Amino acid sequence: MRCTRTQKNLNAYLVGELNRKRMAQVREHLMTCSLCAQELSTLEKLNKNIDQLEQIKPSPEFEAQFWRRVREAKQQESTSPWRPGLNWTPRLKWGLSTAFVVLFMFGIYMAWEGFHNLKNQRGVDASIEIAEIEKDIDFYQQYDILREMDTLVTFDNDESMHKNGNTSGNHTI
Amino acid sequence: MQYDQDTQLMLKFQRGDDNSFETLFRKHSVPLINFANRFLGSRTKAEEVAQEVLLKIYMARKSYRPKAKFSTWVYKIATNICLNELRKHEYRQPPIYFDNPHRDHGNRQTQWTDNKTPTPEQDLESKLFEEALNSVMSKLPGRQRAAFLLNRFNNTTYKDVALTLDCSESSVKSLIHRATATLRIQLKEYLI
Repeated sequence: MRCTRTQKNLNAYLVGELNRKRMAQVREHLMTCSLCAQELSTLEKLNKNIDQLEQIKPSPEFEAQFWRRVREAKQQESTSPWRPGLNWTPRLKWGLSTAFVVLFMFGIYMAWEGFHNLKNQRGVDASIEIAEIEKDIDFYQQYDILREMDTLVTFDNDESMHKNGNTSGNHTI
Repeated sequence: MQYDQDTQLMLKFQRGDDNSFETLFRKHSVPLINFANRFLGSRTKAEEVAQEVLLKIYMARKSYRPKAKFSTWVYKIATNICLNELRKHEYRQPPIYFDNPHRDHGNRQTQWTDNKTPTPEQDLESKLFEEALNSVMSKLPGRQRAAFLLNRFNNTTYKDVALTLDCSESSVKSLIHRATATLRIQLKEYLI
């Protein structure tokens, strides 16, 4: 391991944050490199000096000030017009978001279904219309036939009347 | 799921046990004040920050959900408040980096330092070292400062520092390396 890499790992080495392999590499390098060994010694001294520093204690009014702030915060919370009646926990937020997404997707699906059905309905209507027209055509065709039949019947009757000598024009089908 | 002791206390507080909060308050007040003091270089500000953190813990009573260790959560709040204070601070010290050693710790008074007389019991050498340390610390970039303080003063593991700062463990290693390299260079005369 080179000096640059060793020195980057010195602090982690001192506080036991290196894995076994890396620890062994650093240890091996330190045994052969006086420069890095010196750096380690300096770092140890720094840590020792820091450990000897005294901790400051809270001022006498610290606790009283804190509880005053708690009371003020509680008062503010209870009088705020924007205070929701609901405890907006992360679970609640996730639940509502999921419900909204599901409803939105459902709405899209329904809109798509509606569009699709409308398209199909138009196709059905067109089919019905065509069928109706075709029926009418049949009817019309029949009517033509019937009309022709009338002509034929009239013609037949006229013929038979001529044969029988009846010229009243009355005829039955 | 097995929670750490502090998380269990917080959950008890959530269920209505106010004494649990008292325990948490007593346990974390001093470390929080010292963390903020080292971070910001001001005892007054440090107490304000510590109160703000404890207040947030108190007011999170109903909404608290244990996702990480309790201390990780607490120091995440503390670090964010301290970083915000640094950004707000009117008198910013120019940062120093270990590859650009600019020895100016003769100016030991930062804009944030309180001019309080040290206690008589303090060793002179320790006092001078502490002043020099605070001076150099005040010039470290915020995240380097946070990583160093959490690991060195709070004995937080690299993993928990990474969770606190929302970064990887290798980033933490790099931040701490840079911070200690700067301190080693700037405080060399105290480390012989």
